[in-house]
Amino acid sequence: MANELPDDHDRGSGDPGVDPADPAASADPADPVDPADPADPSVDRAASVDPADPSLDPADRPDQVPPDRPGETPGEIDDAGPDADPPEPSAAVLATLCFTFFSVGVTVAAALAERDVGVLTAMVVAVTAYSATSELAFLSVREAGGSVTAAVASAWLVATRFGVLTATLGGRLSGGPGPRLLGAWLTVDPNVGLMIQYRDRARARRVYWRTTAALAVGWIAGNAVGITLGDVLGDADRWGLDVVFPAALLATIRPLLATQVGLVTGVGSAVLCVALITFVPAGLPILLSAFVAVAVVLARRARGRNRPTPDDPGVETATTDGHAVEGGGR
Amino acid sequence: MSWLAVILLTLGAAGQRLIGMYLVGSKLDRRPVLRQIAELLPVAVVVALIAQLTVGDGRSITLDTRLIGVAVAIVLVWRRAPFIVVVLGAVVTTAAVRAVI
Repeated sequence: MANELPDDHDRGSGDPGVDPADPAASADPADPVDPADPADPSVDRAASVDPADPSLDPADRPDQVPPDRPGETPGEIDDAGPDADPPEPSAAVLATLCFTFFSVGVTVAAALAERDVGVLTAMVVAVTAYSATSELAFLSVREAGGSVTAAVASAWLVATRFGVLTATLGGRLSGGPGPRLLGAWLTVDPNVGLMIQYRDRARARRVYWRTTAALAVGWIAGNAVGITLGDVLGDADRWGLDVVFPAALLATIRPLLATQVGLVTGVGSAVLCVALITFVPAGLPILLSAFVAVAVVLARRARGRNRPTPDDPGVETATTDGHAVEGGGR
Repeated sequence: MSWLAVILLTLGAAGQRLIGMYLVGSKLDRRPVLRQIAELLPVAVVVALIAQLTVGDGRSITLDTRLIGVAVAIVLVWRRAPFIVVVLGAVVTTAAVRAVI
């Protein structure tokens, strides 16, 4: 995300993000992941884009202008002709997104059922929080023996990316107060990641709502199936179900880990967490790992400042294109 | 998961979305550091969760068959396998190893 770093610039040079032939490719940025956002990973796959592809995480380089969008700034969005936009997501892309969120919904709801959470509770939280990553984070900390407070805190931390996503969405989603409120509520990584690729407002809005509908249907249906299925699974550990959480979380944040800064943060966080486990109360190692993210951002900025670069951090105009943080979606 | 937890999770996820949409908006563009931190926090927290779930056992570290399942998941994620393949691959491998051992 330190756009001022040279390596980021290099990566940006090949930006295929706007390849008209591959609408889903840029969806990755959305991936940046809500770990809960299951959708992100799926988007990636749909696009079958190289994970290292810079186009996947525009957020990383807010001030960087992709070669094919000269001079684009938020204010100029309307000036660009719709001809520059990639084709709208095909039915196949939407179906893939839908299935991915369905899979995530099944996984999360089955885990809830396994813990004797009622059908009503599971469905309500699926709709109101609308975040698989938040639910998984909460359950994981509780599973590890952490307090409810620590579990809620970790769920809030993984949801910070939503604020970035809706801040990006706010200036682009035209429509009345009702649609905007609904749009904010249903924001996850893939739908915003896809819609920000379209400069034509009407087209961006259409892409946003189609994608959002596909994701919502998949997520809700998946939860309904999972909460039913969970009861019949039985002895979780014997079936290897204790690795469902780590595997599911990993799959949802894959897009975020695909960036250099994301990978560095992830590795540092894992090392710190393991080092702290035996020394501090359960749940705390996870919360303390959040400081790795802060340290990485500050360190990268400090490095960038010591190096003469064309884009001074102070003038970052940050097109909101980037932002896609968690893959987990919701 | 209690109803209190449901409310708190909703406040965290939906609340931060509403704050981003209605209170932050384009102001975030002028605060690149905050944006970068907000984007990276989920990665740090989620990876820590994965680490805890893989080798943690309360307040001690236990290396067992979970490591094998998560290793399979890492490989599958690296190979860009679909979500469901990653999860099932990890579960099936772990269950198989436990059945054999």
